[in-house]
Amino acid sequence: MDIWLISGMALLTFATRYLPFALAQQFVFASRWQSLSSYISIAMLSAITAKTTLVREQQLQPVLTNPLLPAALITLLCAVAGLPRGLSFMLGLLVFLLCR
Amino acid sequence: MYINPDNRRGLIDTAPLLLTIAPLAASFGVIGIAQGESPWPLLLCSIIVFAGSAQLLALGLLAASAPLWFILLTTLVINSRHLLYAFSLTTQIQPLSGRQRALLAFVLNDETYALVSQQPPGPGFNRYFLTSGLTVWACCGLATGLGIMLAQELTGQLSAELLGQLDIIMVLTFVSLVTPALKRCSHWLCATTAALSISLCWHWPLGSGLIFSALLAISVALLAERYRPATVAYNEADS
Repeated sequence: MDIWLISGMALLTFATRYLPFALAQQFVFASRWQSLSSYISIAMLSAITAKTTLVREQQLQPVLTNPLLPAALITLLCAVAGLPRGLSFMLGLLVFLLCR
Repeated sequence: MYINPDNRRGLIDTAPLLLTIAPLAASFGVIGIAQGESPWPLLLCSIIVFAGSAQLLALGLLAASAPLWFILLTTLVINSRHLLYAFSLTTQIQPLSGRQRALLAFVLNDETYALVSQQPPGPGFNRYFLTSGLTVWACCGLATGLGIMLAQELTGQLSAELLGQLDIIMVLTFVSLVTPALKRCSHWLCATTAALSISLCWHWPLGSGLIFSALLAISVALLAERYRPATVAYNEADS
């Protein structure tokens, strides 16, 4: 890894993170934008979570023998039922350990 | 010692996620050393690039003798999801100075975004954001350093199976964070579309399936919001 590669990677990574923040000064965002931004976080985090849960060892495993799936589903149900975040997490972890 | 409540919250919320982050950062050090890279560039990369998946892929591409421009292009494509992250946070960071924004942009990462995207805007927002981001950043630097130092010993322990087991921390944290934010039908539709879409295109190159799934889910949710029945809109506005 030479210094040019590291510098280039650092610059590109920072640019993708900073550009929208820098542009924020130039615009006044409508309330519509806030609605859109809530969808961005839901969409990105749901996609990341689904991919991590369902793709194991480079294979799609949407089966209950994949211990991440029942654990994630239990956490989802607990969160929908309004249980505190920590409790939902712990119950999901318990299911994972039981199914593993 | 007094710690601001927002800093403390950021630290406490981020701490469990470090269990997922540290092994990945350590494995970057281990793999790098195993590939014959020098320790200092590896550590420097972890500290100033601070983009785990792009760093690991760069090592793979270096091993395959890929040209510099291709590695940089790959970095740009993989990190394009940060554009979406940062765009969604523009409302919250608007009152901050340029220097504060630059610092927050530098420490923005997947785990910190999952936490801060659920935080309301306000005076404590930047403290929470910065504490979470810096905690992850410090963890990455330290874990990479540890991975470099213990390269030989760690190689046997950091198996793919162990890393797979630690994914559970991230999955459960993200599920418990996102679910309370699903307040409307269009939110559920957005989450379901993203999950279904990534199930179909998870194997697309350079993480492009992730970006595609997110954009598709956002489009579907916006369409649903636009064309939802008037009675539903009335009830939601009423609640």
